[in-house]
Amino acid sequence: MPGKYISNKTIKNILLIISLGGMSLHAYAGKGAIQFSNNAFKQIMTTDKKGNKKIDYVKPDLVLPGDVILYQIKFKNISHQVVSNIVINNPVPNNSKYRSGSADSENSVVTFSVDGKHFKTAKRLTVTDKTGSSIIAKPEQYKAIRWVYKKSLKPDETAMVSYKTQIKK
Amino acid sequence: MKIGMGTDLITLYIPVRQIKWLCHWLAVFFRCCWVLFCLLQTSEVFAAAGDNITNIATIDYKIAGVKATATASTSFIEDRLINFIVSKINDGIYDPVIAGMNGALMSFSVLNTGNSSQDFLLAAVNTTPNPFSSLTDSFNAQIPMRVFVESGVTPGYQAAQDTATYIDELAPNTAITVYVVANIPAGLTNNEVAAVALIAQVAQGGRSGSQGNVITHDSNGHISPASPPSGYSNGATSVSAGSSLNIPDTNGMDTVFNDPAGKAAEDVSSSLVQDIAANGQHADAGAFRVTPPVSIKKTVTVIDSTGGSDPRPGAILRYQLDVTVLGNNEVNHLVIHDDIPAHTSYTDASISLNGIAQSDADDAPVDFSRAININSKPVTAIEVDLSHGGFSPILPGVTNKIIFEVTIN
Repeated sequence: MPGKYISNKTIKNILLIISLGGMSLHAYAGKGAIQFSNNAFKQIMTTDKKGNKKIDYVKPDLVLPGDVILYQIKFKNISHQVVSNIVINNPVPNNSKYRSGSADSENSVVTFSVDGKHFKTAKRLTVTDKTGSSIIAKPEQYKAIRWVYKKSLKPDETAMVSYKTQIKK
Repeated sequence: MKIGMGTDLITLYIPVRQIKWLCHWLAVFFRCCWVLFCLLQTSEVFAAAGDNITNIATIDYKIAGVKATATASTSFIEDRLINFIVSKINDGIYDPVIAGMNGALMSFSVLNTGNSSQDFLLAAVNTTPNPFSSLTDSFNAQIPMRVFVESGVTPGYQAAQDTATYIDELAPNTAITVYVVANIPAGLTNNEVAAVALIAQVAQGGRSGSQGNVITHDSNGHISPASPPSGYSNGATSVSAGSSLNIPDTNGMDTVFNDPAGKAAEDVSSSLVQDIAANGQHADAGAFRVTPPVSIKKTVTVIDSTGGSDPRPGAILRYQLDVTVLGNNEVNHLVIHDDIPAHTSYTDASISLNGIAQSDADDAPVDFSRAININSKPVTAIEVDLSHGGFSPILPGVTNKIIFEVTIN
C-alpha cells in the first residue's frame, strides 16, 4: 500500500501480543543466553524402620494447607559468552507464605520485600505495627524475594537458587 | 500486505488502519490479563481448595553489555482438605429437662477447619454412655430428634427463624450453631440421663441454597460410613454413603478427609459405632438430665442492731429466694411457700417480689403474696403466687427474686 507504513508502536504491540499470547500458565522458559527453569516440589517427611526421619521431595500432586513446597530456580548459560549482572526476582506465590530461612544465599545476596518494590535483607526489612512503630518484618509478611548473583556465569555453567513456602492454612 | 506460507503465496488486502486498531486493543487486552495474572500472585482472597498456585520467577542479566530478561513459572493445584469439628456447646454441663416435656434443646457447634466451603448434613441420635459424670445413661430421647441450624437473625434457638435442617456453605474457619430439639418421655425420675450425639456429614458445597450431595469418599480411599438408621434430619430419605471405592480425579483437585475421630465411645458416626478419623463425619455428645422443673436458691443475710452480722437475739435475718424455671417449657401455677423458721418472728410488710413491696394480706389481685396468719399471729409462712393464679406462666430462664425478713427471738 503506497504511502502507508506500520508504525513502531504497532510493531511493538504485535511483539507484545506474540510474547504474552505464547505464554502458558505452566512451566515455560525464556529463550536467549540463559536457559531458565522453575520447579516446585512438595516436601514430605518419612521415618524409616530405625526411627530416623528423612525428608524427601516429590511432585506436588497432592498439596494441602500446611504443606511445605520447595522451589528450585535454575539458570544455565547456553550462550558462548559470559553472562553477568544476574538478578532473580520471585514474588511469593499466592496461597503461600515464605518459610523462614529457606532462601539459599550461596553466591548470592538475598533480599526480601513486603511490598514487591523495596528490597532489604531480612534483618533490615521492617514494617509498621499497629502502634506506628517500625518492627522487623516476619517471614510470612514477605511478598517477594530477590537474589543478586555475585558471580558471572560462564558458557555451559549452571547455577540455582531455591526457597520454601508453606501453603496457608 | 502479503503473507507467505511455505511455497504458497496468499495475498491479503487489509487496511493498515484496521491492523493498528486491532493490535492496539489486543495489546490492551493482554496487558489487562497480565495485570490480573500478577494480582493473583499475591492475592489472599482466593485462598481455598482448587486454586492454581503459580510461581513466576524472573531473571535479569547482561550479556556483552546488553540487558536481557527471562521468565519461568511453575504451578500446581491446591487440593481440598475436608476437616471439621463438632463440639457440644457448654461441654460437660447437662441440659436440664423435665419428664414429658417437648422441645428440649441441646446446642452444638460445627466448625469448618478445611480449606473450602462445604455443606454439612446433620443427624441427632441417642448414644451411650453418658459423656458427663458417673450418672448412668438411663433413657432415650424420643426419635426422631429434629436438628436445626442457627439462622443468625436472633441468637438462640427461635423455632420460627431457625428452620434450616442442613448447614449450607460453611466457609473455612467458620463455626455455626446447631440445635437438637427432642421430646422427653414421661414417667422419668430426677437425675435420669439421656446421652445424645450430633453427627455432621460433609457434603458438596458450591451451590448456595442447595443441599449438596454427600461426599462419599476421598482421594486416599477413605469412605464415609452409611447413614444412620433414621436418616439425616434434613428430611431427605436415608442418604447413601460409602457405596463406592471409585476415586475420580476432579479436574486436578483431590479431596482428603482429615476429620478427627470422636473423642469417646459415645461420639458415634452414622454407623452408630465410635466415629473414626478421616471418614467425612464427626460427632460429639451431650446429655439431657431430668431435673425438678424449678430451681430455688435460698440465701440469708444477718443484720444485727449494731450494723454487724452477728445472729444474736434481735438481729434480722433477711431471706432471699431466687426462683428459676429450668428446661425449655413455661410453668403454670407456680406458688412459692416458705415457712418462718423456729425461734424467729416474721417482720410485718417485709415481703418484696423483684424489688416491689408486697402486702401481707391475702388480697389478690392487688398482689399475689401473703403472710399466712398475718391477722392471728404468729405468721407461720410466707407465700408468693408467681403465676398469678395460673394466669401468668413463668418462662424458663427467668429468675424471680423474693425477699422477706424475720427477727431472731
